Order: sequence, then structure tokens, then C-alpha cells
Amino acid sequence: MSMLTVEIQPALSLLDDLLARICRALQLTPTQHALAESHYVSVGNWLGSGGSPLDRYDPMIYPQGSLAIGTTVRPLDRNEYDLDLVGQLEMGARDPVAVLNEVEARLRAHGVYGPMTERMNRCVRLNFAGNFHMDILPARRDPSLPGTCLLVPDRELRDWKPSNPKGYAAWFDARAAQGTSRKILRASIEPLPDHEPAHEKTALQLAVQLVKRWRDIYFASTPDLAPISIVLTTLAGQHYAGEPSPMEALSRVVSSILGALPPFGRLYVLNPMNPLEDLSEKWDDDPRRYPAFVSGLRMLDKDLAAIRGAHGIARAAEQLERLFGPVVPGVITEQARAIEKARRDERLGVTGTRAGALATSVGPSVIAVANNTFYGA
Amino acid sequence: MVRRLRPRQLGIPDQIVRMRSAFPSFVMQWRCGRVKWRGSLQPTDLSSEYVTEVSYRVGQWPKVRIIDPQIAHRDGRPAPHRYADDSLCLFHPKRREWTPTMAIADTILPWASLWLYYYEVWLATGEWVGGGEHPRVKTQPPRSTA
Repeated sequence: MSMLTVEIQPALSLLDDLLARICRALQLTPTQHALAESHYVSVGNWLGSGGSPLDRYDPMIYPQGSLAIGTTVRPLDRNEYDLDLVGQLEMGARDPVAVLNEVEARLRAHGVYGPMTERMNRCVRLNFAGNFHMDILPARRDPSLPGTCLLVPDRELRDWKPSNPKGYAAWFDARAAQGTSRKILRASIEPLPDHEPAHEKTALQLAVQLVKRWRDIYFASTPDLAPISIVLTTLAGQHYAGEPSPMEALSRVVSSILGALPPFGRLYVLNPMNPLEDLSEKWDDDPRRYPAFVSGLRMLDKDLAAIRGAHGIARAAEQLERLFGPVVPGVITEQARAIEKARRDERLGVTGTRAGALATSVGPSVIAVANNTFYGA
Repeated sequence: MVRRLRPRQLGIPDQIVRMRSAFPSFVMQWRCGRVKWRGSLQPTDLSSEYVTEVSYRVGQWPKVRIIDPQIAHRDGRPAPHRYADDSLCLFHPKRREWTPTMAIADTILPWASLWLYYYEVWLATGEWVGGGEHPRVKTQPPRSTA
């Protein structure tokens, strides 16, 4: 049973369940996830098969970024997700431009992937129209560092720079595993198939998806000023303190970042895997960016407080829609249908000692909802 | 020897005892054969708190009214599933979903909380997800359990 016992949490949190459902509506569907996986596996095979000039480098493709840590969010303006992959090649020092050229040439020679191939500045992109595009970033092991440390083409492509996507994902997972988040989220409103992705997510993963979605909406008219995902994800991981509820996690992250802002200058968001790398260096490129981030975050902090104090689902729904977009009303209906299903399956109760709060778990103070028909005009 | 062929009808004292144990925060008033309880219902963490009044007299249907805040309209339309006197339509009288053998605390109050939840969803989305039936003619509140 994935339901909580009444001793831990007698009433269900509609808000946390709603937030999890918002994330589920925004992330890759299980079908898209499986599709992406089968494609990157076959891309890896193509790069490494006999006849490929890259064969001798034993290429291996694996996800990095949001795909690796389970925080994908559909972009606001299009249907295609941005998926980032590492194409790891076992090679020594080489000109990164030449390596990119070889990867590109090999992909262009493929019957299916060829026409989808697009050369980008530091990666090769495959466009799967209507679903996602996959950015394959060539990488080689960093001979000077142990473990998962890699070198990837630098932005200007003249050299390689250090990167550690596997290390980052491990860091994020460890941050997310604080507290009891996974257990609590599994207690969401039944009925949900056992493997609903959003309901197996940790509170930190959901908080990251929510803050990215908020960013997309808040900066919709000024996308140039928006903080990049790696900055938001890293900040969330650093400031998360094990809250089991996604609402508490998000609220804590936002208020804790605000509390950590330096009185002068700007915040530095350093790569947890490489403290020499300033992930937030783009804030220096445009002096409007950092103040826009700070004032946006202050507003988010206030809006989250307003949601926690909202009177009534309709009022909360308006606030949530302002933060997370037009996905909200549909999610409220979906949730109500889940509650209605629980009622028809005789799994719904109310807690008399807590003002008749709805509950999907049974216990001494929970009264099962008997069969009834709302009648009358 | 007397044999009960049907479940025993609950008297007002039985209803009061069960209400006091299940909804201890509801305040009771019992006068001239009619009992009234008043207390707060808040179906979810996102919901408002509703001051709710339940009144009952043996031989009549229990009646539930929301005192505060008032049940709102949406786009000029009144909330569904209410009787002409604004009390909530919580069960189908003719289907015997409620009979005087049942404790109000175990039936009417949970239904009222659920009604409030669906009402708030209706306010947010315009859709009543809680199912139910609409009688063909505008109904008066049912008067008697007979």
C-alpha cells in the first residue's frame, strides 16, 4: 500500500498533490521518455558501430541535465523539450572542432537521423519534431582528474573545459534524498497507476520543476533576463533542507536563497562539482539580469505565502495559475476526478476531528463516506 | 419476546452522542424536539472554512445550511445541488440513501464536507465533478422521511 496511515497525516494535502500533478503535466510523458531513451541508445550504437570513424573511441551516450535528474519541463513557447546528452569518447587531446565535425558527419550519414541533424556551437542537435530535440555534447575523460570528470568543448570551441555531469547528478540525488520526501509523496491521492512519474518524485525534483516553470512564465516577455536552469537547479539543491512536501520545499528554497543574498554585489552560484566554475557568470553579461532575478524571487516568495494563506480552492487556483500557467484548471479537475473515483471505490473518508477534512486513509478518527447522490437543482 | 425486524431508528439522544464523539467541535442546541449543530467544515488544506448548520427533527430529513461564507455564484449562476431554501442536496431521498437508522455524523456531515469540496472545484473550474442528479422540476426541500 502506498497510502499513509492516519497517524502521520490524517488529511490529504490537496496543494501538494496539485503541485505534483502540475509537474506531471509539464514533464516528458512516459512514452516520450521511452522514445528518447531508445533514440539515444541507437544513436550511440550508430556512432560506435563498425564502419564508423568514431568506433575506435568506443562512444557512449547518456543523459545529463534535467533528463538525468528527472526535472524536465516543457518550454512555454513550443512543444519540444530540450534534452541534453553526453557523447563520451575515449580519446586523448584533440581539436574539439574536429571531434564535433566527426560526430556531425557520422550522424548525417544515418538514414533517419541524418535529416534531423543540426550543427550547434558546442554540440550536435537532433530534432525530433513535436517531441524534443537532443543535444549531444561530445566529451572525453579528463586525464588529470579521477572518476567521472570530463572535458567538453568550450563555448568558443578553441579548447576543452572541465565538466562532470554524472557527478552533478549524484550530488543532486543526494540533496534530494534528505528527509522522507519520497515516502510522503507516494501517499498522494489514489488512484494513480503505480508508476506515475510525478508521484514517485522527490520534493526537491518537484520544487526544481516548479521553479523552472515559474521562471518561464515570469520571464515570458523578457526571456533574455531569465536565470538559466542550471543556476535554479543548483540553488534549489543547495538550499533544500529535506522538507517532505513540495510546497514546503519550494517555499524553503525561495526564502533561503533570499536570505543568502549578499548585501553588495551579486550572488555567486558555483558548480558543486567544481567550485572554480561560476554557473551564474551570465549575470555579468547584462546588468539587468541579476536584479531581475532578485525581484522575481521576492515576488515568488510573496506569491507562495499568498497561496498558503488563500481562502478557497478558487482563490488558490488563480494564484497557482499566475505562477505556473494555464495548466492549472485542468489539473484541478483531474484531481477532483481522482477524489471522485476514490469515493466511488469507497476509499474516501473525512476526519471529524479536523473539520471534516477529506482523507484517503482509514483510521480511528476517519469516517468513511457512505454512498450518496447529490440531488436537487 | 420482541424481535427487531428492521434496524432501530436513532433518537435524537443517539444522534447527539454520535455527533459529540465524531465532530467534537460542533456546538449543539436541542429545543422543542429539534436539534441543531453548528461548527466548521474545511474539506481540504486549500479550502475555506465554512460555518455549517445541521438541523434535525425525528420524522424529517436532516437539513444542512452553510452560514458563512455565503455560497457564491459563478458567472451569475448559482451553485448546483441545492434546494430552493439554499440547503444542500446531499442524498437522494427516494433511494433511501439516508434513513433515520443512520447517524448524521457518519453520513450527512461527510457528505456536506464533500459537497463543499466539489462546490469549491466548481467555483474554480465551472465543472461539478461530484456526480449527482438533477430533478426535472425545481424541488422544494423534502419535508418528511415518511
